[in-house]
Parts: sequence; C-alpha cells; structure tokens
Amino acid sequence: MKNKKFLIGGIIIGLAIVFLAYMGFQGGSGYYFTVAEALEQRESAGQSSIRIQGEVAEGFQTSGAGQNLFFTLLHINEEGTGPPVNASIEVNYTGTVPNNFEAGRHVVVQGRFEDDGSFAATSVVTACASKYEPA
Amino acid sequence: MAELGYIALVLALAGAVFAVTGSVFGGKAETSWINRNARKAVIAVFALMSAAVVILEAAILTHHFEIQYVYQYTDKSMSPLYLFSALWAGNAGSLLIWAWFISLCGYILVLRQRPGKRELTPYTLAVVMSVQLFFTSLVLFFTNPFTRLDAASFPVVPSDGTGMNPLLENPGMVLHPPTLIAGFALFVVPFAYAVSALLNNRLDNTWISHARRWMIMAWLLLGVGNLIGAWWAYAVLGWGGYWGWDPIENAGLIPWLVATAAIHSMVVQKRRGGFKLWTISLTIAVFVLIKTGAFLARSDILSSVHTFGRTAMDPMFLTLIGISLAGSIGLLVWRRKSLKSEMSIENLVSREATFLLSNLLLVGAAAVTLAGTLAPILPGSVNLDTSFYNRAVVPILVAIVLLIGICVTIGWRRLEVRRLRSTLLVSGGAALVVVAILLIAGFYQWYALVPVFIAVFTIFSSILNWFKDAFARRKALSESFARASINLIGSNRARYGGYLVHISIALMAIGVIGSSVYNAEASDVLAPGESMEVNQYTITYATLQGKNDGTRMEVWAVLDVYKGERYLGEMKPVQLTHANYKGWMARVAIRYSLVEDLYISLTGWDAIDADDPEKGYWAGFMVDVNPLVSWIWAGGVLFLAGGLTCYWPKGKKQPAGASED
Repeated sequence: MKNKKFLIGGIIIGLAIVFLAYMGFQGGSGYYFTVAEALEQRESAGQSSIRIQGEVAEGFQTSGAGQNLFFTLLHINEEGTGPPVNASIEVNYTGTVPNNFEAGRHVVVQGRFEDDGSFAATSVVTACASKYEPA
Repeated sequence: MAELGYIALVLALAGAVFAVTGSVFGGKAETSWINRNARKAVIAVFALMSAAVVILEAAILTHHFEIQYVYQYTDKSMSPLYLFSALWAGNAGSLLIWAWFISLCGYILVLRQRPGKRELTPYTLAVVMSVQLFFTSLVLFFTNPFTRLDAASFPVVPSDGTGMNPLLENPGMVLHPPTLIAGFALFVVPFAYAVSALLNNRLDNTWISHARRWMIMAWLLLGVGNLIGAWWAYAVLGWGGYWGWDPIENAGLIPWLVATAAIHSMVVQKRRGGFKLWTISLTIAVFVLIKTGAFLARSDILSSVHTFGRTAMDPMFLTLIGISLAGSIGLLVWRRKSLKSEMSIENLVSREATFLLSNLLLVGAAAVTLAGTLAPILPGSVNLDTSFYNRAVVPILVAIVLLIGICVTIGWRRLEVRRLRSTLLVSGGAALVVVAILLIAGFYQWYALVPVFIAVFTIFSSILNWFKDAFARRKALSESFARASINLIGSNRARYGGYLVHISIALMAIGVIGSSVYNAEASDVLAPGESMEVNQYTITYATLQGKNDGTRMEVWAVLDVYKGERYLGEMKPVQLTHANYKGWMARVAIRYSLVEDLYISLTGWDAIDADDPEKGYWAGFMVDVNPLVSWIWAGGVLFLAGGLTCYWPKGKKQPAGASED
C-alpha cells in the first residue's frame, strides 16, 4: 500500500518533468534555419527575429574599431545530402565579434532581414570554437 | 622515438588481451597461476601505457616534428607549460591519457587486492581491462599519436610545428582536460564492480563498499573538471560565458547528475537495503552516458564548441555503447530476483523518501538535458537554444536545491517533528530576511528572488543542522563548541562532507542567479582620453600599446578604471595574433570581486588619421558587469573540499577502500 503511494508520487513527478520539458520545447525551440531555408522563409518571417546557421565566406570585413562586421553567410552543404546548394546571405552585425570568427567557420546568426535583402544580426555565435582543431 | 611509442602501445594491447582472458577464465581461485599472471599483466599494461605517455610527452618537449601530433599541436615558441599540456590538446593525445587513466585504475585495483577478500576482483579487472583494451585499440588503430608525418607531403622534417590554437593558451588548458578525462576514466571502476556483482550474483552491499569511493573520486573530478571548464569559458570571449548548454558541456553535466543520484542511492542501499536495482542501474547508466558523451564529442554529429572533427572511430564507440548497454540490461534481467529491495519506506516524510525524490529529480534533470542535447539528431531534428534548458532544466535544479535544505533536517525512517519544525522555521526566516533586504534594495524580479530564497534557506538549514549536531556532541563529550564542530567531520565524513557540498551547490546557485539576471553590458568606441560608463564604473581609455616578437603580436589598451570616485587601477584588455593563426583573438581583462566582476574586452581599433599614427587610435570596448560570478568559483572550492572530505578514508588503521559508515 505504502509503495503504491510512492509509485503514484513518482509518476506525478515524472509527468511534471515531462511537462516542463514540453513547455521548454514550446517556448524555447530555437530552430536554426539553413541559409537556403532562411531565403525561402524570408517573406513569411517578415520582421520577426530568426536564427540561421551557415558558413562564413572568405573576405569578411570589420570596421568601427572592430564593432561592425560584414560578411557573407554561405549555405552549408553536408556530404551525401543531394546536389550542393549555392545560397548566400549578406550579414551585417554590430557588436563584439567572437574570438574564433574566421572564414570557413560555422556560425549561427540571429536577427532579421532588411528591406534590401541583407540580414541585420543582433548576435553571432561561432558554433564551433574547436578547442580541438580537426586535422 | 615514434617507434618506441608504437611498440609500447602494441605490447600494452597484448597485455590487456591477456589480462582480460586471464581474469575471465582464471576462476575465483585468486592464487591460481592464471589469475596471478593476469594481475601481472595489468601491472605491465600500466607500465607500458605510462611509457607511451612519457614518450609522447618527451617527443613534444624535444620538438620531434616528424611526429604528426607534435607537428600539429606544438611549435618552438610555446611556453613550457602549454607545450607540456599539448599532450592532451588533440584527439589522439587525449584518448591516450584516457587509456592511461584506465590502466592506472587497473593497477590500483591489483595493488589493493587482499588475498581471500576480493571475490569480485577478477571480473572487475576483466571489465576494466576490456575497456582499457578498447581505448588502446582506438589509440593504436584509429588515432595514433605516434603517426609520422606523411612522407609524400613532407619530404623533409619541418623545422617548426603549426602550434597550438592561441585560444587554448589559458591555465584552463592545463587543468580542465586532464581533470575531466580522469573523472570520465575513473567511472569505469564502479561500472566494473557493478557488472562483477551481477555476474557473481553478489548483490548485497559488497560491491558498493568497494565502488563507493571510486564513484566519489570520479564524481569529484568530473564536477571540478566541469567547473574549471566553466571558468575557462568565462574567461574566453565568445564561448558564451561560464555555461552555454553546449552539447559537450551537457555531456559532462549529464553523467555528473546521474552520478550524484547514484552516490545518494548507494547511501540508501547501505543504510537500509533499499534501491538496489536503482543504484546498480544508475552506476551502469553513468558509464554508458560517459561513453555516449565521448562519442558525441569525438564524432561530428552535434556541432559544438569542442568537437574534434570526424574520425573513423564512430562505429567503435557505438559498438562499445551497444555492448555495455545490452549486456548490462541482460544481466539486470537475469539477476532481477537478487535485486529486490529489502526496505519499505515507512513514512512519506523520511530521509529515504527525500532521497528517492532527489534521485528522481536528478535523473529527470539529466534526462531532459539529454533529450535537449540529442534533439538535433532525433527524428524531427530540432536545434534547441539555451532558453529550452533555462525553462525545462533550471526549475528542476532549483527544486533539487530546495530539497537539499529540507532533506538534511529529516532523519532516517521517521520524522523528528520538533527538529524539522525549528530548523525549517529558523532557516526559512533567515532566507526571508535576505529576500526582504533585497526587496528594499530594489530587486523585484521574482524569478531571481524565489531561487535566492531557496538557496539561502538551504545554506542556513545545512549550517543549522551542523550546529545542532555540534551542540549534541559538546554535551556528550564536553568539548568546546568550535572543537565539536570540527570533530564532527571525523565522526561521519560522508555526512559532513555532504553538508559542505550541499552548501557549495547553494552558493553556486546564488552566483548563477546573480550573474544571469543582473548583468549589465555596454559597448563603445573611444578616442584616447575619452570615457565610458557602466553602472557605477567609469572607464577611461588612456592609450593603445603593442609588441611584436616575430611569431606573436599583441595589442592592448590601457584603461583607468574608477568605481564612483575611487580609482580601482589599470586594466589591459588584449588582442593577439600568432604567425600560425588567422585573425585576431581577444584576451579579456577581468577584475574579480566578491560582489561583481568587471569584464572588459578590446574589440578592435582604427587609426584616427591613417597617414599619421602619432595621432593615436580609436579603440572599441565591450564592458560587462557580472554580479556574483565569484560565488560560483568560491562554491567550486568548497565543493572540492567537501568532496575530498567524503572521499577521505575513515580511520588511519583501516585499509583505504574498505567499507565506511
């Protein structure tokens, strides 16, 4: 009888945790769009903030004592996922450039599309600082 | 040199094969020829693995650039300390260290073996050496640190290496990887004891009395390793602060949470004979989770701060995970009858019940974190951002802190109502006072005040219970109060070490709340002589300086920092670059204090007049004020002290590793 009580208690806690996870999932699911997806979503996204993952192209530029950053975000083509996609977005960003920002690096930018089709980022996160530089 | 390393690894592999076979077929007669020699093989494997580590380190220190690993991760300009730590800077080296720690575990197990008392040992050794075998094969066949540079691309041995990523040149690099790897590696022993207990059908408390201290040491190393990693990430710009719910950070947190649950579950099994299936399952789970984490870190499946890049090891790891998981579940089903609990929980408000609850919450927090981490590779592939963890995991962690405060006041089996009521009232009252003071000071955020209340309550509750025990001891033994408080620790290290750990967790919680809710940030571009203000701080940019020694160039800004009218001193945020490194990286200047850290990075600079450098430079700064971060590190030190107290053997005469409590 006693154990039944604990079983019920355990189930309630389990359900509470699942509920928390579900709520977190609803509120916090930050989808990263790929560059190609983001371009498709551009109209529907409108002025809402979205996140895009892509690769930094060669030739990025900084100005304003390192606080303005302009770069081209390329679509990341995974091996074995069909024909390569050539899509890119021009990104401008004002703020602190992460340490390991460099061409070829995968980054996630958050922000919104401008009217001219460029992307104004409010944050740039380098997805892979590679403490362990792959060979 | 490379050949010597190779040979050591090959011999170690052979030794491990012999040790595994010998331990499996040697039977329970410990004096049998085969068992004795299996033990010798374990010692030989340890010696050979040590030789391999020493050889690699020697090759690094003496710049043997014909070895690919040395070429890839070091150069001649590196300072001795970072040169030394290049041993674990790459995948191959870190796996070698991992394998070495496992061989060390085997060696200690053999040393500790007392004739006639260790019927669990042969199978335990067999499991440890099987894992050793796995890691040695990985190092030997998949990512060998002794591989020579490809002769086709490098006909001549290069005169210098490509050097370590300057981001890694931080004291964290010296401490974080080995601590974490040691923690990961040591969990093999509790796992091995669990498997051995299942195989031998000795599912009483014997295996726990052997495994407990290994578990605590591994858990302690893992916890401290994670904290050092957090401190490192905090001090490096762009790694998202001390904790970013990065997949690999999670891979260190998840097993730690489950190990915490396992340690508490062990206590219940030892004291009351309950939770048997639960304890052994958690112990196995920790091992499997660590291998899963290693797999995630060393494959390229989840993009993370720390991935190593794709290697051919993935199927190997998956095989190990599959075998340990399927094998363990099979064993658990086979021995299910011996795993029945002997305990009935008599009271809903008893320590057993709170242990059960805290176990559920710890495992729940681990499960949700795991689900979030794996979400990108599960069907539907969703990338979750940190707000998921903040909403789903943080409330559970807060509940755990609350439970700590309540749990310590509740006795085994039954409720001591008087003690409970007085402690709860006093600690709750004290916490209310703190919250009231915060309200008066103008902090109104409920999502900060509620967890602060809980953390303060838990700290007071732990201290109060300690004092009560000290009073009782003073009465019984007529010691002074101060003396009794200290001597208590010796009387039950596990309990009072546990109190210290609990207080440390609450301190860290306060640090996390303060720094995540009340941080302030500002950025600006200044000309020499100009100032910017953040909160009460005034930061005046004096000048930009630099130096260049050929391979390394550093530029730093000299800042005069005032808090109100008071001059705090100079701060010098740096940007540096290296001959082998594309681009610049910032080294932030941090002024630590108990109340708040001032965190400044130099973002860049532009000449005021491009034709006349005499006119100086514009310089960009980002300034952060991070409250209470130091509490996390202070909590970390207390965590280490408490963990060591739990770990310390009980009496001088008792052999280490013998049963406690």
